[in-house]
Amino acid sequence: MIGGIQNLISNPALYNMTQSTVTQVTTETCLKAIGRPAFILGDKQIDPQTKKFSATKELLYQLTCLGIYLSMIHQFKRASFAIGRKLFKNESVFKAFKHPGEFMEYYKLDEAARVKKLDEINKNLKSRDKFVKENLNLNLGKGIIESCSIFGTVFGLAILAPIVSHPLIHPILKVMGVENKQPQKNNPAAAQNTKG
Amino acid sequence: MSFNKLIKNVCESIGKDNNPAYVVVAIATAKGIFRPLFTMMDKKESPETKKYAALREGLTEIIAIPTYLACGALAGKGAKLVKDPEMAKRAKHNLRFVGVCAAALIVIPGLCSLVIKPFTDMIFHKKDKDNKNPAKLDIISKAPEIETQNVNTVENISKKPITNPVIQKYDIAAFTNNGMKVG
Repeated sequence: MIGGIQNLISNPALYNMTQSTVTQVTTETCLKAIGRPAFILGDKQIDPQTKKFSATKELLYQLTCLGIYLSMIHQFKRASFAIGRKLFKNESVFKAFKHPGEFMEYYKLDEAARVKKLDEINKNLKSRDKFVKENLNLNLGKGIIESCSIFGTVFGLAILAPIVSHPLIHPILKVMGVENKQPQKNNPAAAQNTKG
Repeated sequence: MSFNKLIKNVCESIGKDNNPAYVVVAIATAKGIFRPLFTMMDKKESPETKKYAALREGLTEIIAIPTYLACGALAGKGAKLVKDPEMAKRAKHNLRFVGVCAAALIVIPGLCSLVIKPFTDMIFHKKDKDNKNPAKLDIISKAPEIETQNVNTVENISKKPITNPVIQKYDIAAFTNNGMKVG
């Protein structure tokens, strides 16, 4: 029983998956998209029309955020190695791998496969300089990809998503026939807050 | 320490272990700054609604930041139960992730509904009370205050105790409904 729980919480697949910022944010947004509307629908103090409106609005907001996020985050990931090359000119990790995808392929390999892959890279080199496994700062390579992802996530979810999603959500709600009939303008307490 | 060295250290630390709390705290910080700002820039809403919404959004993120950190750290403590160091390292990261998800899904909405409503009510109701008797004139009267306590008005006389012993004998209430009726 305890061994099973230990294996579950130290699952290597989950560990590798959640080391990526994109996976973390995607999982959390999916959970919010399911959980928050469910909580709203479960609230017995709100009238059914408001419940339906708030739950649909929350679901649409989270889905729009996810869509916007997934469509733009790869641009930030792609830019990470270019930024790395500019900031750290002497780091061989940015010279050995042309783009983050190639680096991540190498990063996920085990030790023996890494040696093989590095030999392959060295064979294709035109210059005499060879890359040595020990000189490749993998933490820096992974770190710059994740840092750019965090920056992209902040830009996407905190700045871009609210601007893009608000004009989109209300027409969709209208088309779906879900509208809040309660007047809001004169009552500050009725101001809706959609938490990201 | 140069800027490049600082960036390198941060990147290496993130590359070594990408704590799930980092990204959510970064998002919450940015939201705490930008969302109230966007709300206050909205020209369609009334100033009172804007202030209310901005305060709510700011407070939500102020609550969210320490909650994410605390939930992640608390959940990570569960990894101490795992003896194998390699497994414990993975368990710590996985549990932190679970903690952050729980914070986003349950703890933060719960805390917000407990804290924000009473807090905003306190601020806005206090304002309402202050606005109930607003000073309409800026001109202040410079005339001397007249002492009205010693003036013999009907109200002041009725408040004074009866000292005449002849009148004290009779019950005053007995005379109130007596007298000649006219018409």
